[in-house]
Amino acid sequence: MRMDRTDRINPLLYLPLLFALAALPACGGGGGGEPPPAPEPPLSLSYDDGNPVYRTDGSITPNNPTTTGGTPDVYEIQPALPTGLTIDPGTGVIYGAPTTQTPLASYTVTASNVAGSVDAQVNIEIQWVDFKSIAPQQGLTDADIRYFLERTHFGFDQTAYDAINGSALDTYLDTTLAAINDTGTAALETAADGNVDDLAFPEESELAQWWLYCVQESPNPLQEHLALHWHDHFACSTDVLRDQSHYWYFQHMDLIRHNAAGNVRTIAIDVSRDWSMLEYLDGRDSTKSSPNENYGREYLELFFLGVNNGYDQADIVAAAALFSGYRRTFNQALGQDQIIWVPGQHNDDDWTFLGVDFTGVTNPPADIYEQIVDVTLAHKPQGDTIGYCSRWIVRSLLRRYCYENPAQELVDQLAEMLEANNWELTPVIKTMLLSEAFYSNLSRQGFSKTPVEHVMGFVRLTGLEMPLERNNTYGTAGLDTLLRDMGNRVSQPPVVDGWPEGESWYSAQGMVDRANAINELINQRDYQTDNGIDITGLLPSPTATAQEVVTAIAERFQVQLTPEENTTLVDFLNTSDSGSTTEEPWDATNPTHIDSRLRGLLYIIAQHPQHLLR
Amino acid sequence: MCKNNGTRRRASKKGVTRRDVIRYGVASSLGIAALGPLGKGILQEASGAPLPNHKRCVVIYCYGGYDGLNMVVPHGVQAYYDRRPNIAIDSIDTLDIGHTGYGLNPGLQAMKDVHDDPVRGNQLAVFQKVGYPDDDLSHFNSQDFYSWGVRNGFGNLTIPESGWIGRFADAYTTDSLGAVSVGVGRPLDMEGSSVNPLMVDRLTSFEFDEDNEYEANHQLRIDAVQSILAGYSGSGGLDDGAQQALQQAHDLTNQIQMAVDNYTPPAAGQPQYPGSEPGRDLEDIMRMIQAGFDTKIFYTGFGGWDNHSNLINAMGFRIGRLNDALAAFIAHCQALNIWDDMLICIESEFGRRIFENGSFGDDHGHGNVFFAMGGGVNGGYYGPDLTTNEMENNNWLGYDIDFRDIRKEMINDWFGGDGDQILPEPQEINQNLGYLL
Repeated sequence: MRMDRTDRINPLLYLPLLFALAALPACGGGGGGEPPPAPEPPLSLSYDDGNPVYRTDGSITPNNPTTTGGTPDVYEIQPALPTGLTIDPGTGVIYGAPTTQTPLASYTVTASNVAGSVDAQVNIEIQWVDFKSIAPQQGLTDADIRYFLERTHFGFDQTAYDAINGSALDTYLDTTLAAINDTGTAALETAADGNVDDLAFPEESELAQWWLYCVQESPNPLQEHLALHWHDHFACSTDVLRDQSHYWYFQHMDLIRHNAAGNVRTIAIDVSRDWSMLEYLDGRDSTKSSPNENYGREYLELFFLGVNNGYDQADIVAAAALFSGYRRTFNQALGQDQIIWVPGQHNDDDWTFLGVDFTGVTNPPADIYEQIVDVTLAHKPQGDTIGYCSRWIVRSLLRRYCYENPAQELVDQLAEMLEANNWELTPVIKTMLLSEAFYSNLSRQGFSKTPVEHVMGFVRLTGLEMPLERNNTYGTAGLDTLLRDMGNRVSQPPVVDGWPEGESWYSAQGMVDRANAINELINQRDYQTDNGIDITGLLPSPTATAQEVVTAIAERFQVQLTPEENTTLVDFLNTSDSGSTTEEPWDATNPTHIDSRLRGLLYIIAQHPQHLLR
Repeated sequence: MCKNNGTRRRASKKGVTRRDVIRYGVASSLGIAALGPLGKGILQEASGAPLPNHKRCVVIYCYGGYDGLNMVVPHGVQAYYDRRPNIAIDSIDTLDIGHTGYGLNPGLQAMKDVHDDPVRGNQLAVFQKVGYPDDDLSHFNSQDFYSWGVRNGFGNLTIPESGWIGRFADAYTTDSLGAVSVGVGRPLDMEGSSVNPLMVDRLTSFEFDEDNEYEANHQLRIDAVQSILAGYSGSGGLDDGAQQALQQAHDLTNQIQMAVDNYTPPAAGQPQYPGSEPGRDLEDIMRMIQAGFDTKIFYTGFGGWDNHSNLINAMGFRIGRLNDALAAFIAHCQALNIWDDMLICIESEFGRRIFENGSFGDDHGHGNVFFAMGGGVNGGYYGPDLTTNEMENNNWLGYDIDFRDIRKEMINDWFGGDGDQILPEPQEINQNLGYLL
């Protein structure tokens, strides 16, 4: 029964007694029969989170109280917590999984013992989110397929759309994910190689353009989208490579693109000894006597476990030492840099890494790298069946493809699947992209498009290409240059945790830059004519009306137009190109209307707020 | 044709309204016309900002964690040399800042000049061992703490999760030009603000390009976009953020281009802005100051300070860029007589190890050196001297100055605001540094 306020003993009144007790001489041992000292009342109470907003899609992070003064015996709360949440009367911890949407309300927790009590307010709001599992979504609609393409394929893709409608998304994913391997895009890569002057000595810009070419031309856009995801996750930039090292980056791009749906263990081993990565995070400078912590830290913090997630500074030091031994050397005959293993530079002291002793490891580097990775993959919270690493990796995917703060249940289901499938990503990705969670309203809230997704999506949606490189005969800055200036150059992540996320991309400057990049694509008429690029294919029919064109383009760009927006765009198509506001009706067979007005419509709709989301 | 006349603009819960922009735009052009390049005075009254002065602060953030021990060299502590056999700086090369045992990195001549100014006196403040409770050697955590101005999360605070400049902008500025970031994308420092601070990368590129073939069509395109933006009622999700950024872009392009067109560069014979990233950023800031923007905090910065290897050269290169940009900006402020209203603060997320690693670099540490300079700065060395004991026996320096005390003093004494309101998290260490006159 809850104490009434008047029942409590005022702690101030109690203080003289406490002082009196303190002044008593210490009791000798075994003085049985004397009353235990009266406890001190609790003096203050606060919670980890005083203003939590919870959701109905999973368990909450337990909200722990902190008290000063005497230890409370009992915690009570008024009014009652929302359904699904519980307060532990002994510890005061608030925990559970809320099930009902509940508006923001104030709850008073009272912590008390015989000597007194203290109150704290916790303001709790429960938001309604229908928890969706990894179970497959039933009855996928046309809208679902378009949403899937927008999210994962740089926007609507006719070939993929037809393939999905011809079989089923399930089958399409099997085929597409299976094609992500060392040879799946061999022809594409050969074509990309053709744009590089000297494959042994590529320039920084040629590397960026090589990758961008793949994004633009790939027959497997899902592979490219996943690869850019892992490029962001396992960030590694060409800007630290010397001219004679640039060629290393081909190997890095292969590693990321070919394993985009591959095996996490393979990725972890290969990323750790990838030459570009050894340079980027100073692994090749980590020596026996002076291990360099840069890679060891990011390996744990960003790549495989997550920041402050199951490791400490000693593990970073151990990782740095265990990974040490690779050095850069200049090959005079080839005129190129190489990375070599120097046994004498490997630190073979005894180390403890993530609680496992590393002593007397033979056959470095292969064995040592495999062992470090295996220990990392196996590292689990005490008493848990799922590891830190699998959770971190699937969380990374969920945050790219489902929603920002994935429910713990969802993370755990996929993480369990990843471990059960011997760290293969393909079944995890497939399950995720077919799941109730992926098609839930929460996931459909969308993500902000990066400049690459927006601009390359525009290229893929419209076919309006431009030269990739800066020095071209068309006098344009080049697509790579535009993306570089927007801070989103593929092959050059700005920092080791990759590119900004979410609304970070929405700045006024960024919007101006995007509009101008789209404008550049629209302006490349000479290049497009010379290369047989024709946008009449975007028309739903050769004689489509203005309304039909607007409807088709809006659908292609995944934009739901309001009646007013629709009128604005139809009016735009019907207005003279000379700038006069007189009506001059749209004529789909008039080349000038295609060249000016249709391109103008693409420019406008590319700036629709909904198109800024994927 | 539906022409946008602005009447359908929704009342945005964030961001400036069209009316504000029109009013502000008028004031801005008046200011320039009536008062010459600085346009000082008019804007303050026109925009009704609550602060009683025109003081400005430029925050320069050095991403990656610069090596404070090589910025301000403790050449009087032998352990510095013992533990850095390859990356220490000889005492004879350092620049004297009037504090025995310490000297500036030889590349920081611009700061030395502020220290030595024969007319104004020493206006360079050096803060030793700046940091926060419970050191965290992660770049990303540390940067978050600095950006938020919060070390231990927002759970027990009465403020929403937001950047410190975002909160400052809400409290002490009235529109998106009250605090502006330049050349750093969208920093977390500005997040969560309802006045929606402008984040610009390069002023000269802040305008909408035309269609080369159909120039007359351009205005029709822009009108249509603006009509859609004005009538757009979002879902309450991310598209709202997109709409606001787009709206801001369309609203501000004219003002920004006016700042570009009316800019007066430094006179011949004066230090010129270098073409480096910090050089261009500080010149853009000067463009906005000259255009009379009522901006209180400009936030900028540049990276490359995470020098795990080859530190002397790699860091020297960045110091050179920082120094040359500062030299031009300081001289330009002084030539235009706005130095008295200028405060420049330099920050970085952590200092580094006391000892070098095997790559002639050093790894992450904690306590670091910060700088402040400007017409209102009471120059000097703030904080403790480094002890032989800590330099010999520690891996990295702890902290003796909570970074928020530097900012609070700026908010309180420079802008006349309430630093505790903007930076409310309780600190372990609180002190009044007194670096502002």
